[in-house]
Amino acid sequence: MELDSLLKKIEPVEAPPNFEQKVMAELSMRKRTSVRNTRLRISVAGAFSAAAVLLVIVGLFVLPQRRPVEVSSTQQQPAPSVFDRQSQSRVRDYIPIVEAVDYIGEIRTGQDQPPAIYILENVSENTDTKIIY
Amino acid sequence: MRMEEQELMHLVQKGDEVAFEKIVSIYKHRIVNFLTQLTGDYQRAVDLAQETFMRVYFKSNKYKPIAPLSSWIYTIASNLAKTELKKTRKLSTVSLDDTQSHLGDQIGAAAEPGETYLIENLKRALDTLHPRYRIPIVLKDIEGFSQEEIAQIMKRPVGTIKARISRGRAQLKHILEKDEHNLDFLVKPKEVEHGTR
Repeated sequence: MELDSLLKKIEPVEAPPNFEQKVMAELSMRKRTSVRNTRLRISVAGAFSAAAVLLVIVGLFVLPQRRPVEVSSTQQQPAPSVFDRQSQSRVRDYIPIVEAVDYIGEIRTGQDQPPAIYILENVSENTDTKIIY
Repeated sequence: MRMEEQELMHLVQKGDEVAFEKIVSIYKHRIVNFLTQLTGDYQRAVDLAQETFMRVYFKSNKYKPIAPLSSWIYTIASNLAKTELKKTRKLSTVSLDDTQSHLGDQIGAAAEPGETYLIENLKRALDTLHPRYRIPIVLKDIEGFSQEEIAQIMKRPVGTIKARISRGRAQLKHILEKDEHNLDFLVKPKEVEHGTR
């Protein structure tokens, strides 16, 4: 007997009578599960994105304020000139150590007048050594 | 029919469950039959058919109306069957008791008593075939698809499908001829028992 005709003699099998009901019940169950999974996925994604936004905010606005101001200003501006340094020093509340003294006038008039004695003191706030004259 | 199916599928894509139920009722017997021939196990075939329809619903957005709906559903079913066969490693080992008990129901009423054991042997031989050959033979000779449609379902060129059908049939004939003597003593005594009752 031919193979084709033998294969066609196999009686087709039918689905069980309640097959559709089972499929629809399974469908509704999986839909519920998929909705739950979607909600969970959205909440997890939302939590992660909120954490990321928080990190960005901290990185941009909170951390830079804790750094010294001079560092950020010197990086962007050119090196200050001598004039700038002098003007800055006026603002500061301490006296500059270097002070120009003109001795020329003293030397010219030194012959007529008694000799002047100059006492040079070491000006320093930090030193604790006694000055001996 | 095809136009109506396309419309139903369009509704399913929008989430219409009534349309989906109609598709299930149209294809349920064909898919269960197809999967039973592939797996050789009716209960597993029913479970796989259920999973097939679940995928039809949840993956409906992937369906494109350029191909017939039947091809798409059969593609899903055959992929699931292949995965299942790989999982259970039932490619070469088939329980003889299961096959015999189930095949008894499958043999058509039109079959003459003399043909019964032939069909049983054929079914057993079909179960021993590799899915690569079994699927196109079942689709062609039992489900009645054309070679072009099978090529569409299996996503292979038509030439490959022709070759697989031809090789599968040759293997079937070879198995039947080889096992004819060995299987005779397993099947024929059963018939003798039936005959004596």
